[in-house]
This record gives sequence, structure tokens and C-alpha cells, in this order.
Amino acid sequence: MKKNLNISNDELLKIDYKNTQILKKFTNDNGKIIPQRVTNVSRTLHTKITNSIKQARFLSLV
Amino acid sequence: MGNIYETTMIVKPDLSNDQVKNLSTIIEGFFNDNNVVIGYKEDWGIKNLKFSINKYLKGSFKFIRFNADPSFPKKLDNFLKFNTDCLRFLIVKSDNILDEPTPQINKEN
Repeated sequence: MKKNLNISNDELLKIDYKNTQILKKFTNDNGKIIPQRVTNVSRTLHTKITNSIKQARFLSLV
Repeated sequence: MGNIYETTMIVKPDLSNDQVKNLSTIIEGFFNDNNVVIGYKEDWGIKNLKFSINKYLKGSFKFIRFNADPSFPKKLDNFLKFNTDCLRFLIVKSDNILDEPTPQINKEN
């Protein structure tokens, strides 16, 4: 099942551990990272997303 | 010359004004000693933490972006590790421009 994330390409370029509002779109209600097969983003982008979510978790931002 | 790095620090929220000034002068002094110029500085204010860190539920966030040689982040890491006022910190290589504002500055809490 593919998920409609409502994210523009500009937002995808700005993915960073500080940009928590975009990162929240890639986590479910329990705070878990949504898998790549659901979000349907490329592998490079998904690695970037997971790394920045983990950095934001370390700083207690997400 | 060098790369652009950025560091985010969580400082204890219950420090007095003098202690906060003292901490910032110590950190700036460390940068000056290593001939590194601070490119951009931000104060995100006191935020609620999502989980407790050293029994603190709130933390004061400080952000610094700088241009330095690849050997400097390790020195900074060693310096911040033994600072008792700093609860947690993260040093990363940055893709942004040196004086670009972060999205956290407009965010409340």
C-alpha cells in the first residue's frame, strides 16, 4: 500500500535533523520510521531520512 | 579551505545568566584558540525534551555553524565531552551555506 505524503520536491531537498516538521511525515503515530516500500522514495533519500530521524532522536527533537 | 560543520548543544536549563555568559565565553575562547571563526550562531531557547536526559525534562538549545579543518571537530568533541553544563551535543558536517537560518528559530517550544 503506497502512502500519499503530500510533500513537495523542495521540501525533500531540505531534509535535515533540524527540520522536524518534514521528518514527522516519515514517522507513524508511535514514532517509528515508515518503511521505504510504503513511502516509495528512492534508496538514497530514504537513507538520508532515516539518518536525520536518528540524529533528531538523539537530540530529543522528535 | 576546510569544511562547513555545525554543532547543536543541549545545555542545562537552570543555569543563571552569569553562568550562561561564562559558558559562551569559554566556548568562544576555545574556537579562538584553534583559529576557527564562528560563522553563524543561534539560540533556540528552552525546549521541552521528548525524554529525560540526566533527569532534566527541559533543555536550552544552542546552535553554531563554522568553517574548520577536518581535525577540529574531534578536538571540539573532546572539549564538550568534559563540560558539565552541556547535557548532550551533536557535531555534523553541513550541506548548508554558512549563514543560513535554521527552521528551528521560528518554531515555538
